[in-house]
Amino acid sequence: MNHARLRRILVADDADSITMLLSVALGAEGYKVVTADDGVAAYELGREYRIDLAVLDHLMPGLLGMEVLEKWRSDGLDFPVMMLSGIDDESAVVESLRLGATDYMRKPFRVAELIARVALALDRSPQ
Amino acid sequence: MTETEMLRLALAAIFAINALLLVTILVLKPVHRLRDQDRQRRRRVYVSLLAQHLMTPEHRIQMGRRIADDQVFLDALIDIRTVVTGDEAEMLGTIVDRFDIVRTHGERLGRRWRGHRRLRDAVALAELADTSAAEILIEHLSDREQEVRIQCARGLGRMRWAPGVDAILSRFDVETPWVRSRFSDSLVSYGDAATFPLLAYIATNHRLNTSGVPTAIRTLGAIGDPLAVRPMIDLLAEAVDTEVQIALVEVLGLIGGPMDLGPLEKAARSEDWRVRAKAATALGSVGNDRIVDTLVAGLEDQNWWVRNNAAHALTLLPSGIDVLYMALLNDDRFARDAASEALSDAGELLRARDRIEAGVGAGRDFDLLEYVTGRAVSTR
Repeated sequence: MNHARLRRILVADDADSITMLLSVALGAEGYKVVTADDGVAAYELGREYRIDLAVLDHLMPGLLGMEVLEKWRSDGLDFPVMMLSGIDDESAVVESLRLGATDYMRKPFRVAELIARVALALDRSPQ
Repeated sequence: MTETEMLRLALAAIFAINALLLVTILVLKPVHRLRDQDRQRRRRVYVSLLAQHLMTPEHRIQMGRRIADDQVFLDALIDIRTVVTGDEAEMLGTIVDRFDIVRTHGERLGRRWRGHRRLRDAVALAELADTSAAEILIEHLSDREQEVRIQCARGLGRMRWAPGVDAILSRFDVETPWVRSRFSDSLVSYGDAATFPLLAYIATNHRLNTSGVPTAIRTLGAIGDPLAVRPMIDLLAEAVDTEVQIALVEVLGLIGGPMDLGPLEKAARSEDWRVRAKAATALGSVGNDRIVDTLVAGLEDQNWWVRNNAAHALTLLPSGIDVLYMALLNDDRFARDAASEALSDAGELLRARDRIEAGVGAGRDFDLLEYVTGRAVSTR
């Protein structure tokens, strides 16, 4: 049985094209996907559901991706987080990784690569 | 009819109109909501189809060609294309071909009766930035609607279609300043690829007093290609038009880098004060201590802007601050004013005051403080 079928992934981005695209793409790989279109909703979903991995946009209304990550970490939630951002900002990358992000991808990206990185992050994280 | 009856009739008419408006709003609101919901539903379907196509290229979108007419499909396609890159973006390009999207919008762009809706087609083609649309976009660079022309130039810039540079430049002299500036933005999207066509355009036209040349020069400044510096210095040496000189001097200061400063120094002695003022600023940005004398001469210029720019330019040079302190003793009051203002703006006034208060003030610190405050400092 594919272990991916058991995993739940949160995709948070204010661009519905990205949440929809990743829902379909990750769904096709057998993951369960929940989506949020702002930082506050993402934070709440991360607390309410047993999330195995989150894909967070950096710039979101409500809370920035980094702020969501910081709040999760301070709440003791340590699931892997992949940051996604359109801005070419080295300091954002460094700050996200310092806060405990597992990985970082810049938009535009290859969906196949994102899926591969998600699988890798899940493989490395404890069940 | 009595006055009272007329008043009642008027009130009844007003009431009827208001009631009609209210009913219209009440009816239109759910209609709009339903349309929005339908649009959202279609968008979800289209994004889902496009995502499936990306994941499994053998999965073909089973839709008729009329899908190309659906703005919601086009928006979804454009949005997904901006998110993905590499072979996945190319894969979406095959959908553009398969559904004849470029041809559909190109044909609609050519119809006269569509009015403002043609703009939507131009925006769609610009957003898609598919090279198969290049010829259509070039053709409509001379469209009767300026917004359409702007979108066509934008589309060419987004796809960096090389022949588009000359096509856009050929419109520079006939467009309004606003359209020209938007065309310039599109040329900036080309990056370095536009450098030499722009230089060729400038070299060919700068003596003809064409209005597009200064914009073309500033476009080079926005691109910032260092390879443009040498040709622009040569152009400055031979330019006769004041607007061209101003633009060249401005951009040379902007791009910077080591260069032959002779033509800029010559510009600093131009008969036109605007050229002298811009040249002073540019010399501050790209110059070195070798051109200090040129800027010191600028301090005594008859024009306030030239004096001001020369003084502020001096603050950027290694020995400039010392030179400005010395200028406080200049016989020319205007030169002294310019020097003291530039020193103050550079933070020297605060530093001089701090040094004086700390008991380590030099003579020139007192000179500056006394000049700015207009009174003697007692602790000198």
